[in-house]
Amino acid sequence: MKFIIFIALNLLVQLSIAATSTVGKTAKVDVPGMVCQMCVQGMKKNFSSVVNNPDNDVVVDLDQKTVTVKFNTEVTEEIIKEKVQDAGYNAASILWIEEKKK
Amino acid sequence: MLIIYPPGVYNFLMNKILILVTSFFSYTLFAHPVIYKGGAVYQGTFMPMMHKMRVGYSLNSKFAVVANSNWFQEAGSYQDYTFGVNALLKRWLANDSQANVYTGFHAGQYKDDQGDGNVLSPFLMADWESRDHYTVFQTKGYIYDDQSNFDYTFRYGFAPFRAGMRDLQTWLILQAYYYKPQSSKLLVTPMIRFFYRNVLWEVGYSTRGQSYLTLMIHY
Repeated sequence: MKFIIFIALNLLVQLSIAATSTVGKTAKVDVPGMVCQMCVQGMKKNFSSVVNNPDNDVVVDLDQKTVTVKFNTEVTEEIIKEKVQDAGYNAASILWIEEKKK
Repeated sequence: MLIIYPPGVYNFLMNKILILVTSFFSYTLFAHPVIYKGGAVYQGTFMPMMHKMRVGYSLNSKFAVVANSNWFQEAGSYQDYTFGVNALLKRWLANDSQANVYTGFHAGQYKDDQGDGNVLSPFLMADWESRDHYTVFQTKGYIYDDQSNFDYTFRYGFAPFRAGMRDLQTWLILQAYYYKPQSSKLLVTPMIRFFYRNVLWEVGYSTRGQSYLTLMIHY
């Protein structure tokens, strides 16, 4: 009986984790390999659909190799990864500056 | 034989389009052949004896469709108009640098002093760049009539200082170019590049006394 309860609880926890995704409105993304002005333009262009003003809301730091994005809506990490890939790069990690669990 | 433009229209219309476009957009040989999804590039190069022009649109970060025009005065006044696809074959991303290999295959029409016809124009390009250094090699073919000619370009550049994202970027570049039908001699051109937001200029003067002007705009 204990074993069944353990399995059931474990399953519940796993389902709970699977159903939870991080969303947020501001994120700092590590993007290795960004070296040029073209990278900056690519990031601004591809994030333009999820920010209000790409010039102000998408900040690329070529020294730190990060892109900080202030979104106009809550977005998921998958969307961020997709936008970075459309710009020709990979998101190594995503740090939420404002986040919540959905 | 593939006829894209009716006789007369080819000469008149395409020359006018070429002059119009290159008046606004002179060129750099070495913007990335594929940029980012939805990115459009207008680029051209002008030297007294040759020019090249390209208009491209990147479907995604791997493929772009492009239209090109090339003119080599010393190669029998060769001029072509081609359309095709560029592809990013491989990109290596390190933290502070990146390397890329691109290819492309273009086809269209040419004319020179001997006549006109179809031309195929493949290319292969490899580059490596960091925030301080930049190098690229490219070879491009011009296959037409019974000829197969290839040009070769090598570039090295460095940034004397690092500028901020919203500041003017400056690069000093040395380019070596060889295209036998155009000249049996290597054309070496030191140049200075400025890059501000989405606009790039390059100004140089070759060791054979030819001015070099480039411009690239991307959106």
